[in-house]
Amino acid sequence: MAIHSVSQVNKFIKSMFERENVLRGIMIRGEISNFKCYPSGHCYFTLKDAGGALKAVMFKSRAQHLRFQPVNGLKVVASGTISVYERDGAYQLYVDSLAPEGTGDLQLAFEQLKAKLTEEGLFDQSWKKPLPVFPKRIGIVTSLAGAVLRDIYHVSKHRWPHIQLLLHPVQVQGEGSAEQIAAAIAFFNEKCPVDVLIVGRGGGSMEDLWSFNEECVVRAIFASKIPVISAVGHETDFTLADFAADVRAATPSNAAELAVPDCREVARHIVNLKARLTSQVKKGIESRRLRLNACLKSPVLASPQTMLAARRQRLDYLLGDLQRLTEKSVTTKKHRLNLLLERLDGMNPAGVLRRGYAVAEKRGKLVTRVAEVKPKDKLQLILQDGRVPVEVLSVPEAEAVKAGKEGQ
Amino acid sequence: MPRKKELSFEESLEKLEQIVASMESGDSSLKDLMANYSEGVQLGNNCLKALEDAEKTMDLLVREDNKKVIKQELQIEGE
Repeated sequence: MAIHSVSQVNKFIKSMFERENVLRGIMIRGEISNFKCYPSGHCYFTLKDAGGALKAVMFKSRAQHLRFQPVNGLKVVASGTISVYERDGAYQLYVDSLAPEGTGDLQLAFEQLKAKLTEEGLFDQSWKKPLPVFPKRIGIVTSLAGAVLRDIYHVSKHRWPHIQLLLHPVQVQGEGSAEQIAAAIAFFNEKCPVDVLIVGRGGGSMEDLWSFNEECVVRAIFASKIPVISAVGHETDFTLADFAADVRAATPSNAAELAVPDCREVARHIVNLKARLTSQVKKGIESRRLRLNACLKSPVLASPQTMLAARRQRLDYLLGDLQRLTEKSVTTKKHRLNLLLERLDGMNPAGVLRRGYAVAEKRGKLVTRVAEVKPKDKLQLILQDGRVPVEVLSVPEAEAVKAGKEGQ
Repeated sequence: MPRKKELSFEESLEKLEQIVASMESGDSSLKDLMANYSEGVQLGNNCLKALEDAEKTMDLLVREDNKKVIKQELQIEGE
């Protein structure tokens, strides 16, 4: 019995596998487990179902075309060839293509990338930039041919005839188109400033629109400092570019409407502002006129004589009061004067003389006491109707002493 | 009122809107009211004129070639 080496056996078994046509271009349904992707780009996993497991490998040359990310638990249909890995003596499936079961691979890739970028916050409303109100330059990233550019051109020129359009032409589908789109967005941001960017293409299948779901395009839109309006496909098509854009337009025409103000509306706005200006001035003047009229109608300014008459009347009253008070005061004083005059009259010596009294005068001075005279003094005796010279005959002694004492 | 520099359309329009808003909020003196009015009318007329006779700009086809920005006139198919 011949003895074979391990290598010989493995090689023989491998050749058996490779002769079997059933194992070539076979399609196998199963669930992915133990999925590993190495830095080399080669992917290793196990396909399993309830009854068994099968090792699988997908080399970089194939795996790089995968749109979605294979994950453990994902039900897939893998197609490829089953052969033997001689080093390990193991048979395995060499995967050419992998498709998620039940859903399209694009749909799955879309959902996966959407979940990933949502997680990163790329679609957060807080990042959305406002569009400029009066843009001068609109940057456009789309293909030179096609209806998109014409639609944008017509709508924007109709709304604002002097708007300037700058087109960076790109391929919008197929190999390399996503990279072109991302580079064009970066180009406007770094080299060619515009006020707003419109990024888009016309309608098509999900495959046609796919570039706008590519991560590099979504990230370029997110990174753009210039506000981006996305206009991809029709109103019902949603791409990840739409989620990352500052504003999503339903169509390219709609994008132009969003980007460019309508000069007729702006003109109406200005005319309206001017009308409000005029009406404010009219109102301002009218309200002042009313206030002025109200002032002019006040009695003070309307008939000054009324005001004078009132003052005249008050003056008259005051003068009347003054006169009355003066008269009253004069009467009182006259009365008091008469009383005083009567009392004064009572003290008039002439009155005493009239009643029969006499007054003696010595050298012009009234004599009121005995001590003031000596015998032989010559006195004047004043009577009611004249003077009589008299001579003192004698002065009683006791009276003189008494007077002398009193005089000391 | 002499202007130091020519205001852009946007600046003029914004100024006009501010003037109208301030007039509508009331409280300005008659002197201010009249000054605002004449300035506002002037701004409004400038804006309307600017809408009519903005300079014609050329649309461009732009791209980068060997680190240089290339600009050509943009011809729209069928225009």
